[in-house]
Amino acid sequence: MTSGLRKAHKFIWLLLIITVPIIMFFSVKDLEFFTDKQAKEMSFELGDYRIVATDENEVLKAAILKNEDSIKIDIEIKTPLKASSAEVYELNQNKEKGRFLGPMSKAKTYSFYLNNDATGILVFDTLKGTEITKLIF
Amino acid sequence: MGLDYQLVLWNKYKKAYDKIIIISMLLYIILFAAITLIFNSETTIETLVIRAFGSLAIIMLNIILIIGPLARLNSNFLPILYNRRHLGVSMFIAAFIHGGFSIFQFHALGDVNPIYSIFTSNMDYNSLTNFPFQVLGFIALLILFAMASTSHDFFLGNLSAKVWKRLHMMVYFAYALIIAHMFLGAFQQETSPLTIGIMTIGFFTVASLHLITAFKEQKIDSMKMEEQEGWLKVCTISEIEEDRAKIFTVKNQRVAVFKYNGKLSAIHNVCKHQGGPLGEGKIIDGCITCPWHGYQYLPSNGQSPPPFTEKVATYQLKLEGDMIYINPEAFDEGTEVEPCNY
Amino acid sequence: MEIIINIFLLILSVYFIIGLLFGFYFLFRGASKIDPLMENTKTKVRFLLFPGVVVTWPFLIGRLFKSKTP
Repeated sequence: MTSGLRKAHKFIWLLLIITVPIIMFFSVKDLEFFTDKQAKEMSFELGDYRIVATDENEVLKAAILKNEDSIKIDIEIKTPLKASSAEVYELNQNKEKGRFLGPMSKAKTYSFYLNNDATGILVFDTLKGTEITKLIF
Repeated sequence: MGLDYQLVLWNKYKKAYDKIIIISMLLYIILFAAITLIFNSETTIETLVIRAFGSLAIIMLNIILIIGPLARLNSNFLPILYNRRHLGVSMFIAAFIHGGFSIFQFHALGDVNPIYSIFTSNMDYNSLTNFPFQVLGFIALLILFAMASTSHDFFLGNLSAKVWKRLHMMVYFAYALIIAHMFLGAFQQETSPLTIGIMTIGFFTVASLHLITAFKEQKIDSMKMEEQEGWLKVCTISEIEEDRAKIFTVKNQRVAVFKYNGKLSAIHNVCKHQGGPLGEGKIIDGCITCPWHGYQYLPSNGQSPPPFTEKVATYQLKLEGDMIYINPEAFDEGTEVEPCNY
Repeated sequence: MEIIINIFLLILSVYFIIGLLFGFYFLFRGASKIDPLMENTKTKVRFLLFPGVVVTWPFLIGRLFKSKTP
Protein backbone atom coordinates (compact mmCIF):
# COMPACT_ATOMS: atom_id res chain seq x y z
CA MET A 1 0.00 0.00 0.00
CA THR A 2 1.09 3.56 -0.61
CA SER A 3 1.13 6.17 2.13
CA GLY A 4 -2.01 7.77 0.66
CA LEU A 5 -3.89 4.50 0.88
CA ARG A 6 -2.73 3.98 4.44
CA LYS A 7 -4.07 7.41 5.37
CA ALA A 8 -7.38 6.65 3.66
CA HIS A 9 -7.66 3.40 5.59
CA LYS A 10 -7.01 5.11 8.89
CA PHE A 11 -9.57 7.81 8.15
CA ILE A 12 -12.22 5.26 7.12
CA TRP A 13 -11.76 3.17 10.25
CA LEU A 14 -11.82 6.18 12.56
CA LEU A 15 -15.09 7.17 10.90
CA LEU A 16 -16.52 3.66 11.23
CA ILE A 17 -15.60 3.22 14.87
CA ILE A 18 -17.50 6.42 15.66
CA THR A 19 -20.59 6.01 13.48
CA VAL A 20 -21.28 2.27 13.62
CA PRO A 21 -21.57 2.04 17.44
CA ILE A 22 -24.04 4.96 17.34
CA ILE A 23 -26.26 3.05 14.91
CA MET A 24 -25.83 -0.10 17.00
CA PHE A 25 -26.78 1.68 20.21
CA PHE A 26 -29.89 3.45 18.94
CA SER A 27 -31.19 0.38 17.16
CA VAL A 28 -31.08 -1.86 20.22
CA LYS A 29 -31.89 0.81 22.82
CA ASP A 30 -35.66 0.25 22.74
CA LEU A 31 -35.62 -3.49 22.24
CA GLU A 32 -37.40 -5.47 24.88
CA PHE A 33 -35.36 -8.55 25.40
CA PHE A 34 -37.30 -11.77 26.10
CA THR A 35 -40.83 -10.33 26.53
CA ASP A 36 -41.46 -9.85 22.83
CA LYS A 37 -40.86 -13.49 22.01
CA GLN A 38 -43.23 -14.81 24.66
CA ALA A 39 -46.04 -12.65 23.39
CA LYS A 40 -45.55 -13.95 19.88
CA GLU A 41 -45.69 -17.56 20.92
CA MET A 42 -48.82 -17.03 23.00
CA SER A 43 -50.79 -15.52 20.17
CA PHE A 44 -50.73 -18.73 18.21
CA GLU A 45 -52.46 -20.75 20.89
CA LEU A 46 -56.15 -20.65 21.51
CA GLY A 47 -55.57 -20.92 25.27
CA ASP A 48 -58.41 -19.33 27.23
CA TYR A 49 -59.64 -17.40 24.20
CA ARG A 50 -63.04 -18.14 22.82
CA ILE A 51 -64.22 -17.35 19.34
CA VAL A 52 -66.87 -14.62 19.45
CA ALA A 53 -67.38 -13.98 15.75
CA THR A 54 -66.19 -15.10 12.36
CA ASP A 55 -66.49 -13.46 8.99
CA GLU A 56 -65.30 -14.16 5.52
CA ASN A 57 -64.97 -12.56 2.08
CA GLU A 58 -63.20 -13.52 -1.16
CA VAL A 59 -59.78 -12.54 0.12
CA LEU A 60 -59.74 -13.52 3.75
CA LYS A 61 -61.33 -15.34 6.63
CA ALA A 62 -61.29 -13.73 10.06
CA ALA A 63 -62.10 -14.87 13.56
CA ILE A 64 -62.42 -12.59 16.58
CA LEU A 65 -61.17 -14.18 19.79
CA LYS A 66 -61.78 -12.89 23.27
CA ASN A 67 -60.60 -13.66 26.76
CA GLU A 68 -61.04 -11.76 30.01
CA ASP A 69 -58.76 -8.88 29.23
CA SER A 70 -58.02 -8.78 25.51
CA ILE A 71 -59.44 -9.18 22.06
CA LYS A 72 -57.50 -10.50 19.14
CA ILE A 73 -58.15 -11.32 15.55
CA ASP A 74 -56.90 -14.23 13.48
CA ILE A 75 -56.87 -13.45 9.78
CA GLU A 76 -56.40 -16.19 7.26
CA ILE A 77 -55.32 -15.01 3.80
CA LYS A 78 -56.74 -17.44 1.26
CA THR A 79 -54.47 -16.73 -1.70
CA PRO A 80 -51.22 -14.74 -1.79
CA LEU A 81 -52.02 -11.06 -2.06
CA LYS A 82 -50.98 -9.52 -5.35
CA ALA A 83 -49.84 -6.33 -3.70
CA SER A 84 -46.36 -6.72 -2.25
CA SER A 85 -46.94 -4.13 0.43
CA ALA A 86 -50.26 -4.97 2.03
CA GLU A 87 -50.82 -3.79 5.57
CA VAL A 88 -53.64 -4.43 8.00
CA TYR A 89 -55.27 -1.60 9.95
CA GLU A 90 -57.93 -1.56 12.59
CA LEU A 91 -61.15 0.33 11.88
CA ASN A 92 -61.97 2.75 14.68
CA GLN A 93 -65.36 3.67 16.11
CA ASN A 94 -66.18 5.79 13.06
CA LYS A 95 -65.28 2.85 10.80
CA GLU A 96 -62.23 4.75 9.53
CA LYS A 97 -58.66 3.57 9.08
CA GLY A 98 -57.19 3.48 12.58
CA ARG A 99 -54.27 1.83 14.28
CA PHE A 100 -51.68 -0.07 12.18
CA LEU A 101 -51.66 -3.79 13.02
CA GLY A 102 -49.00 -5.27 10.76
CA PRO A 103 -47.88 -6.23 7.26
CA MET A 104 -49.16 -9.26 5.37
CA SER A 105 -48.31 -10.95 2.10
CA LYS A 106 -48.22 -14.73 2.11
CA ALA A 107 -51.23 -17.00 2.29
CA LYS A 108 -51.20 -17.95 5.96
CA THR A 109 -52.90 -17.07 9.23
CA TYR A 110 -51.95 -13.79 10.89
CA SER A 111 -52.77 -12.89 14.46
CA PHE A 112 -53.14 -9.38 15.93
CA TYR A 113 -54.40 -7.86 19.17
CA LEU A 114 -57.26 -5.41 18.81
CA ASN A 115 -58.43 -2.39 20.78
CA ASN A 116 -61.70 -2.92 22.62
CA ASP A 117 -63.50 -0.38 20.46
CA ALA A 118 -62.37 -1.74 17.09
CA THR A 119 -65.19 -2.08 14.57
CA GLY A 120 -63.44 -3.94 11.80
CA ILE A 121 -60.27 -4.37 9.84
CA LEU A 122 -58.94 -2.94 6.63
CA VAL A 123 -56.31 -4.46 4.34
CA PHE A 124 -54.58 -1.61 2.58
CA ASP A 125 -52.14 -1.51 -0.33
CA THR A 126 -49.68 1.17 0.78
CA LEU A 127 -47.95 1.21 -2.56
CA LYS A 128 -50.99 2.17 -4.59
CA GLY A 129 -52.82 3.80 -1.70
CA THR A 130 -55.92 1.67 -2.26
CA GLU A 131 -58.09 -0.61 -0.15
CA ILE A 132 -57.70 -4.29 -0.89
CA THR A 133 -60.49 -5.46 1.34
CA LYS A 134 -62.44 -4.40 4.39
CA LEU A 135 -64.30 -6.39 7.01
CA ILE A 136 -66.78 -4.82 9.41
CA PHE A 137 -67.82 -6.88 12.38
CA MET B 1 1.03 -15.21 -15.58
CA GLY B 2 0.93 -16.84 -18.98
CA LEU B 3 0.18 -15.28 -22.35
CA ASP B 4 -3.55 -15.49 -21.83
CA TYR B 5 -5.87 -15.19 -18.86
CA GLN B 6 -6.82 -18.34 -16.97
CA LEU B 7 -10.09 -19.01 -15.17
CA VAL B 8 -8.40 -19.15 -11.78
CA LEU B 9 -4.68 -19.13 -11.04
CA TRP B 10 -4.67 -22.23 -8.92
CA ASN B 11 -1.64 -23.85 -7.38
CA LYS B 12 -1.24 -26.62 -4.83
CA TYR B 13 -1.61 -24.28 -1.84
CA LYS B 14 -4.52 -22.33 -3.23
CA LYS B 15 -6.36 -25.57 -3.95
CA ALA B 16 -5.78 -26.70 -0.37
CA TYR B 17 -7.06 -23.36 0.97
CA ASP B 18 -10.08 -23.46 -1.29
CA LYS B 19 -10.93 -26.93 -0.05
CA ILE B 20 -10.75 -25.68 3.53
CA ILE B 21 -13.03 -22.75 2.64
CA ILE B 22 -15.66 -24.95 0.96
CA ILE B 23 -15.64 -27.62 3.67
CA SER B 24 -15.92 -25.04 6.46
CA MET B 25 -18.80 -23.30 4.69
CA LEU B 26 -20.67 -26.59 4.22
CA LEU B 27 -20.04 -27.62 7.82
CA TYR B 28 -21.39 -24.32 9.07
CA ILE B 29 -24.56 -24.58 6.98
CA ILE B 30 -25.18 -28.17 8.11
CA LEU B 31 -24.54 -27.30 11.75
CA PHE B 32 -26.77 -24.24 11.55
CA ALA B 33 -29.58 -26.28 9.98
CA ALA B 34 -29.25 -29.04 12.57
CA ILE B 35 -29.32 -26.67 15.53
CA THR B 36 -32.25 -24.71 14.11
CA LEU B 37 -34.27 -27.84 13.45
CA ILE B 38 -33.61 -29.20 16.93
CA PHE B 39 -34.52 -26.02 18.82
CA ASN B 40 -37.03 -24.44 16.48
CA SER B 41 -38.53 -27.19 14.38
CA GLU B 42 -41.28 -24.97 12.94
CA THR B 43 -38.82 -22.94 10.90
CA THR B 44 -39.56 -23.11 7.17
CA ILE B 45 -36.83 -24.16 4.79
CA GLU B 46 -36.72 -20.70 3.15
CA THR B 47 -36.23 -18.97 6.48
CA LEU B 48 -33.55 -21.48 7.37
CA VAL B 49 -31.64 -20.84 4.15
CA ILE B 50 -31.93 -17.07 4.55
CA ARG B 51 -30.63 -17.14 8.10
CA ALA B 52 -27.92 -19.73 7.56
CA PHE B 53 -26.36 -18.01 4.54
CA GLY B 54 -26.83 -14.53 5.94
CA SER B 55 -25.00 -15.37 9.14
CA LEU B 56 -22.35 -17.32 7.21
CA ALA B 57 -21.67 -14.30 4.98
CA ILE B 58 -21.27 -11.90 7.90
CA ILE B 59 -18.92 -14.26 9.74
CA MET B 60 -16.83 -14.63 6.59
CA LEU B 61 -16.77 -10.87 6.04
CA ASN B 62 -15.46 -10.33 9.56
CA ILE B 63 -12.72 -12.89 8.95
CA ILE B 64 -11.82 -11.31 5.60
CA LEU B 65 -11.54 -7.89 7.18
CA ILE B 66 -9.13 -8.95 9.92
CA ILE B 67 -6.75 -10.77 7.54
CA GLY B 68 -5.23 -7.51 6.28
CA PRO B 69 -4.22 -6.03 9.65
CA LEU B 70 -3.24 -9.44 11.06
CA ALA B 71 -0.84 -9.99 8.17
CA ARG B 72 0.69 -6.55 8.80
CA LEU B 73 1.11 -7.29 12.50
CA ASN B 74 2.36 -10.87 12.12
CA SER B 75 3.81 -12.34 8.94
CA ASN B 76 2.52 -15.82 9.85
CA PHE B 77 -0.85 -14.70 8.52
CA LEU B 78 0.52 -13.84 5.07
CA PRO B 79 -0.45 -17.18 3.46
CA ILE B 80 -4.10 -16.43 4.29
CA LEU B 81 -3.75 -13.02 2.67
CA TYR B 82 -2.85 -14.67 -0.66
CA ASN B 83 -6.15 -16.52 -0.52
CA ARG B 84 -8.27 -13.61 0.58
CA ARG B 85 -9.67 -13.14 -2.90
CA HIS B 86 -11.15 -16.63 -3.04
CA LEU B 87 -12.55 -16.14 0.43
CA GLY B 88 -14.12 -12.89 -0.74
CA VAL B 89 -15.79 -14.46 -3.75
CA SER B 90 -17.10 -17.32 -1.59
CA MET B 91 -18.47 -14.77 0.86
CA PHE B 92 -20.27 -12.99 -1.98
CA ILE B 93 -21.84 -16.29 -3.06
CA ALA B 94 -23.14 -16.87 0.49
CA ALA B 95 -24.48 -13.30 0.64
CA PHE B 96 -26.06 -13.70 -2.79
CA ILE B 97 -27.92 -16.86 -1.73
CA HIS B 98 -29.15 -15.00 1.37
CA GLY B 99 -30.27 -12.01 -0.71
CA GLY B 100 -31.76 -14.09 -3.49
CA PHE B 101 -33.91 -16.16 -1.15
CA SER B 102 -34.99 -13.08 0.79
CA ILE B 103 -36.07 -11.25 -2.35
CA PHE B 104 -37.92 -14.33 -3.50
CA GLN B 105 -39.66 -14.95 -0.19
CA PHE B 106 -40.60 -11.39 0.68
CA HIS B 107 -40.95 -9.61 -2.63
CA ALA B 108 -41.52 -11.99 -5.54
CA LEU B 109 -45.13 -12.91 -4.74
CA GLY B 110 -46.72 -9.58 -5.54
CA ASP B 111 -47.26 -8.11 -8.99
CA VAL B 112 -44.71 -5.37 -8.34
CA ASN B 113 -41.15 -5.76 -9.61
CA PRO B 114 -39.33 -7.43 -6.68
CA ILE B 115 -36.45 -4.93 -6.71
CA TYR B 116 -38.92 -2.04 -6.69
CA SER B 117 -40.73 -3.78 -3.87
CA ILE B 118 -37.57 -3.91 -1.73
CA PHE B 119 -37.44 -0.14 -1.80
CA THR B 120 -41.14 0.63 -1.46
CA SER B 121 -42.79 -2.09 0.64
CA ASN B 122 -41.73 -0.21 3.73
CA MET B 123 -41.59 3.56 3.34
CA ASP B 124 -40.51 4.35 6.90
CA TYR B 125 -37.33 6.05 5.73
CA ASN B 126 -37.61 8.61 8.52
CA SER B 127 -37.66 6.07 11.30
CA LEU B 128 -34.60 4.31 12.66
CA THR B 129 -35.87 1.04 14.09
CA ASN B 130 -38.52 0.65 11.38
CA PHE B 131 -36.11 1.69 8.64
CA PRO B 132 -36.41 -0.48 5.50
CA PHE B 133 -33.35 -2.51 6.38
CA GLN B 134 -33.59 -4.65 3.26
CA VAL B 135 -32.56 -1.62 1.22
CA LEU B 136 -29.30 -1.52 3.18
CA GLY B 137 -28.67 -5.19 2.50
CA PHE B 138 -29.47 -4.75 -1.18
CA ILE B 139 -27.00 -1.89 -1.63
CA ALA B 140 -24.33 -3.82 0.28
CA LEU B 141 -24.94 -6.80 -2.00
CA LEU B 142 -24.48 -4.58 -5.06
CA ILE B 143 -21.11 -3.44 -3.72
CA LEU B 144 -20.05 -7.01 -2.94
CA PHE B 145 -21.12 -7.99 -6.46
CA ALA B 146 -19.00 -5.26 -7.99
CA MET B 147 -16.04 -6.46 -5.96
CA ALA B 148 -16.47 -10.19 -6.54
CA SER B 149 -17.01 -9.75 -10.27
CA THR B 150 -13.83 -7.71 -10.63
CA SER B 151 -11.67 -10.09 -8.60
CA HIS B 152 -9.85 -11.40 -11.66
CA ASP B 153 -6.39 -10.00 -12.43
CA PHE B 154 -7.75 -8.81 -15.77
CA PHE B 155 -9.56 -6.01 -13.95
CA LEU B 156 -6.60 -5.12 -11.78
CA GLY B 157 -4.61 -4.50 -14.96
CA ASN B 158 -7.30 -2.85 -17.05
CA LEU B 159 -9.02 -0.67 -14.47
CA SER B 160 -5.62 0.53 -13.16
CA ALA B 161 -4.50 -0.40 -9.65
CA LYS B 162 -5.84 2.89 -8.29
CA VAL B 163 -9.42 2.47 -9.51
CA TRP B 164 -9.39 -1.21 -8.56
CA LYS B 165 -8.21 -0.53 -5.04
CA ARG B 166 -10.79 2.25 -4.59
CA LEU B 167 -13.55 -0.04 -5.78
CA HIS B 168 -12.43 -2.73 -3.38
CA MET B 169 -12.09 -0.32 -0.47
CA MET B 170 -15.86 0.16 -0.77
CA VAL B 171 -16.04 -3.05 1.27
CA TYR B 172 -15.79 -0.85 4.37
CA PHE B 173 -18.93 1.01 3.38
CA ALA B 174 -20.63 -2.30 2.63
CA TYR B 175 -19.53 -3.57 6.05
CA ALA B 176 -21.20 -0.63 7.79
CA LEU B 177 -24.35 -1.15 5.70
CA ILE B 178 -24.44 -4.83 6.60
CA ILE B 179 -24.09 -4.13 10.32
CA ALA B 180 -26.97 -1.65 10.08
CA HIS B 181 -28.93 -4.19 8.01
CA MET B 182 -28.58 -6.73 10.81
CA PHE B 183 -29.24 -4.39 13.69
CA LEU B 184 -32.32 -2.88 12.06
CA GLY B 185 -33.53 -6.15 10.58
CA ALA B 186 -32.83 -9.52 12.12
CA PHE B 187 -32.01 -8.12 15.56
CA GLN B 188 -35.34 -6.25 15.76
CA GLN B 189 -37.29 -9.47 15.26
CA GLU B 190 -35.06 -11.96 17.06
CA THR B 191 -33.89 -10.03 20.06
CA SER B 192 -31.22 -12.37 21.28
CA PRO B 193 -28.52 -10.76 23.43
CA LEU B 194 -26.13 -13.51 22.33
CA THR B 195 -26.13 -12.73 18.59
CA ILE B 196 -26.15 -9.00 19.20
CA GLY B 197 -23.24 -9.42 21.60
CA ILE B 198 -21.20 -11.55 19.20
CA MET B 199 -21.74 -9.07 16.37
CA THR B 200 -20.78 -6.10 18.55
CA ILE B 201 -17.60 -7.81 19.74
CA GLY B 202 -16.84 -8.78 16.14
CA PHE B 203 -17.10 -5.21 14.94
CA PHE B 204 -14.90 -3.81 17.69
CA THR B 205 -12.27 -6.50 17.09
CA VAL B 206 -12.12 -5.69 13.38
CA ALA B 207 -12.10 -1.94 13.87
CA SER B 208 -9.49 -1.91 16.63
CA LEU B 209 -7.14 -4.24 14.71
CA HIS B 210 -7.33 -1.87 11.75
CA LEU B 211 -6.68 1.15 13.91
CA ILE B 212 -3.78 -0.46 15.80
CA THR B 213 -2.16 -1.29 12.46
CA ALA B 214 -2.88 2.17 11.11
CA PHE B 215 -1.16 3.92 14.02
CA LYS B 216 1.78 1.53 13.90
CA GLU B 217 2.25 2.17 10.19
CA GLN B 218 1.92 5.91 10.71
CA LYS B 219 4.91 5.77 13.03
CA ILE B 220 7.04 4.26 10.27
CA ASP B 221 5.77 6.83 7.77
CA SER B 222 6.64 9.75 9.99
CA MET B 223 10.14 8.44 10.80
CA LYS B 224 12.81 11.14 10.28
CA MET B 225 16.29 10.43 8.98
CA GLU B 226 19.50 12.39 9.43
CA GLU B 227 20.51 14.42 6.38
CA GLN B 228 24.04 15.01 5.13
CA GLU B 229 24.64 17.11 2.00
CA GLY B 230 21.43 15.90 0.34
CA TRP B 231 21.96 12.26 1.30
CA LEU B 232 19.95 10.58 4.04
CA LYS B 233 21.55 8.30 6.59
CA VAL B 234 19.94 4.86 6.36
CA CYS B 235 21.62 2.30 8.64
CA THR B 236 24.74 0.16 8.86
CA ILE B 237 25.25 -2.85 6.56
CA SER B 238 25.05 -5.29 9.44
CA GLU B 239 21.52 -4.13 10.34
CA ILE B 240 20.15 -5.70 7.15
CA GLU B 241 19.88 -9.48 6.87
CA GLU B 242 21.29 -11.25 3.82
CA ASP B 243 18.72 -11.49 0.93
CA ARG B 244 16.35 -9.30 2.90
CA ALA B 245 15.57 -5.60 3.13
CA LYS B 246 14.93 -2.85 5.61
CA ILE B 247 12.18 -0.34 4.87
CA PHE B 248 12.67 3.42 5.26
CA THR B 249 10.50 6.42 4.51
CA VAL B 250 12.08 8.89 2.14
CA LYS B 251 10.08 11.96 1.05
CA ASN B 252 6.85 10.29 2.17
CA GLN B 253 7.61 7.24 0.06
CA ARG B 254 8.65 3.90 1.48
CA VAL B 255 11.88 2.53 0.12
CA ALA B 256 13.27 -0.99 0.57
CA VAL B 257 17.06 -1.33 0.88
CA PHE B 258 18.10 -4.87 -0.06
CA LYS B 259 21.34 -6.70 0.79
CA TYR B 260 22.40 -9.62 -1.40
CA ASN B 261 25.63 -11.21 -2.74
CA GLY B 262 27.80 -8.46 -1.27
CA LYS B 263 25.68 -5.79 -2.95
CA LEU B 264 23.11 -3.20 -1.87
CA SER B 265 20.18 -1.88 -3.92
CA ALA B 266 17.18 0.31 -3.12
CA ILE B 267 13.77 0.27 -4.80
CA HIS B 268 10.34 1.71 -4.13
CA ASN B 269 8.56 -0.51 -1.60
CA VAL B 270 5.20 -0.79 -3.39
CA CYS B 271 4.59 -3.74 -5.73
CA LYS B 272 2.89 -2.79 -9.03
CA HIS B 273 0.51 -5.71 -8.80
CA GLN B 274 -1.55 -4.97 -5.71
CA GLY B 275 0.65 -2.68 -3.70
CA GLY B 276 2.33 -5.42 -1.65
CA PRO B 277 5.30 -4.45 0.57
CA LEU B 278 8.33 -5.53 -1.50
CA GLY B 279 10.70 -4.84 1.40
CA GLU B 280 9.05 -7.59 3.40
CA GLY B 281 9.84 -10.11 0.68
CA LYS B 282 13.02 -12.09 0.07
CA ILE B 283 15.46 -12.23 -2.81
CA ILE B 284 14.70 -15.50 -4.60
CA ASP B 285 16.75 -16.56 -7.66
CA GLY B 286 18.29 -13.11 -7.79
CA CYS B 287 14.90 -11.35 -7.85
CA ILE B 288 13.08 -9.37 -5.20
CA THR B 289 9.90 -11.39 -4.68
CA CYS B 290 6.75 -9.70 -3.41
CA PRO B 291 5.46 -11.44 -0.28
CA TRP B 292 1.84 -11.03 -1.36
CA HIS B 293 1.57 -12.67 -4.76
CA GLY B 294 5.12 -13.49 -5.79
CA TYR B 295 5.66 -10.76 -8.42
CA GLN B 296 9.39 -10.40 -9.07
CA TYR B 297 11.72 -7.46 -9.72
CA LEU B 298 15.45 -7.22 -10.42
CA PRO B 299 17.11 -5.30 -7.58
CA SER B 300 19.43 -3.31 -9.84
CA ASN B 301 16.74 -1.77 -12.10
CA GLY B 302 13.34 -2.45 -10.49
CA GLN B 303 12.11 -4.24 -13.61
CA SER B 304 10.27 -7.54 -13.72
CA PRO B 305 12.28 -10.09 -15.70
CA PRO B 306 10.92 -10.65 -19.27
CA PRO B 307 8.26 -11.43 -20.46
CA PHE B 308 6.78 -9.34 -17.64
CA THR B 309 6.67 -5.59 -17.90
CA GLU B 310 6.15 -4.27 -14.34
CA LYS B 311 8.58 -1.56 -13.24
CA VAL B 312 9.14 0.23 -9.95
CA ALA B 313 11.22 3.30 -9.10
CA THR B 314 14.86 2.86 -8.06
CA TYR B 315 17.10 4.86 -5.72
CA GLN B 316 20.80 5.55 -5.52
CA LEU B 317 22.81 4.41 -2.50
CA LYS B 318 26.32 5.22 -1.31
CA LEU B 319 28.54 3.75 1.36
CA GLU B 320 30.76 5.61 3.81
CA GLY B 321 32.60 2.99 5.78
CA ASP B 322 29.88 0.82 7.23
CA MET B 323 27.10 3.39 6.93
CA ILE B 324 24.57 3.35 4.05
CA TYR B 325 23.27 6.63 2.61
CA ILE B 326 20.41 7.14 0.19
CA ASN B 327 19.64 9.85 -2.34
CA PRO B 328 16.02 10.84 -1.58
CA GLU B 329 15.31 11.68 -5.25
CA ALA B 330 13.75 8.63 -6.92
CA PHE B 331 14.80 7.67 -10.44
CA ASP B 332 12.17 6.92 -13.07
CA GLU B 333 10.58 3.51 -12.83
CA GLY B 334 12.88 0.81 -14.16
CA THR B 335 16.07 2.95 -14.22
CA GLU B 336 19.27 0.90 -14.00
CA VAL B 337 21.33 1.81 -10.91
CA GLU B 338 24.77 0.36 -10.22
CA PRO B 339 24.43 -1.57 -6.92
CA CYS B 340 26.74 -0.60 -4.04
CA ASN B 341 29.43 -3.22 -3.48
CA TYR B 342 30.77 -3.79 -0.01
CA MET C 1 -39.15 9.70 -1.31
CA GLU C 2 -40.82 7.66 -4.05
CA ILE C 3 -39.39 10.00 -6.67
CA ILE C 4 -35.88 9.49 -5.32
CA ILE C 5 -36.36 5.71 -5.34
CA ASN C 6 -37.69 5.79 -8.89
CA ILE C 7 -34.79 7.88 -10.14
CA PHE C 8 -32.27 5.70 -8.32
CA LEU C 9 -33.70 2.47 -9.73
CA LEU C 10 -33.98 3.97 -13.20
CA ILE C 11 -30.31 5.00 -13.17
CA LEU C 12 -29.37 1.57 -11.82
CA SER C 13 -31.24 -0.30 -14.54
CA VAL C 14 -29.98 1.94 -17.35
CA TYR C 15 -26.45 1.46 -16.02
CA PHE C 16 -26.77 -2.31 -16.08
CA ILE C 17 -28.47 -2.43 -19.49
CA ILE C 18 -25.67 -0.38 -21.06
CA GLY C 19 -23.22 -2.60 -19.21
CA LEU C 20 -24.80 -5.76 -20.64
CA LEU C 21 -24.68 -4.44 -24.20
CA PHE C 22 -21.15 -3.14 -23.82
CA GLY C 23 -20.07 -6.38 -22.13
CA PHE C 24 -20.64 -8.53 -25.20
CA TYR C 25 -18.88 -6.11 -27.53
CA PHE C 26 -15.99 -5.58 -25.15
CA LEU C 27 -15.19 -9.17 -24.28
CA PHE C 28 -15.32 -10.48 -27.83
CA ARG C 29 -13.93 -7.44 -29.68
CA GLY C 30 -12.78 -4.45 -27.65
CA ALA C 31 -10.80 -6.10 -24.87
CA SER C 32 -7.92 -7.30 -27.04
CA LYS C 33 -7.37 -3.70 -28.19
CA ILE C 34 -6.40 -2.57 -24.71
CA ASP C 35 -5.01 -5.83 -23.35
CA PRO C 36 -2.86 -8.04 -25.61
CA LEU C 37 -3.33 -10.95 -23.21
CA MET C 38 -7.01 -11.11 -24.17
CA GLU C 39 -6.28 -12.24 -27.74
CA ASN C 40 -5.59 -15.84 -26.77
CA THR C 41 -7.98 -15.97 -23.85
CA LYS C 42 -10.53 -18.77 -23.93
CA THR C 43 -14.27 -18.20 -24.18
CA LYS C 44 -15.06 -19.57 -20.71
CA VAL C 45 -12.67 -17.06 -19.17
CA ARG C 46 -14.41 -14.30 -21.14
CA PHE C 47 -17.71 -15.34 -19.58
CA LEU C 48 -16.13 -15.28 -16.14
CA LEU C 49 -15.05 -11.69 -16.80
CA PHE C 50 -18.47 -10.71 -18.13
CA PRO C 51 -20.18 -9.62 -14.86
CA GLY C 52 -17.20 -7.48 -13.94
CA VAL C 53 -17.31 -5.72 -17.31
CA VAL C 54 -21.02 -5.05 -16.83
CA VAL C 55 -20.20 -3.37 -13.50
CA THR C 56 -17.14 -1.36 -14.56
CA TRP C 57 -18.04 -0.40 -18.13
CA PRO C 58 -17.55 3.38 -17.71
CA PHE C 59 -13.88 2.85 -16.83
CA LEU C 60 -13.30 0.34 -19.62
CA ILE C 61 -14.98 2.56 -22.24
CA GLY C 62 -12.62 5.33 -21.17
CA ARG C 63 -9.61 3.06 -21.70
CA LEU C 64 -10.94 1.95 -25.06
CA PHE C 65 -11.26 5.53 -26.35
CA LYS C 66 -7.81 6.42 -25.06
CA SER C 67 -6.29 3.50 -26.93
CA LYS C 68 -7.94 4.57 -30.21
CA THR C 69 -6.77 8.18 -30.09
CA PRO C 70 -3.31 8.09 -28.59
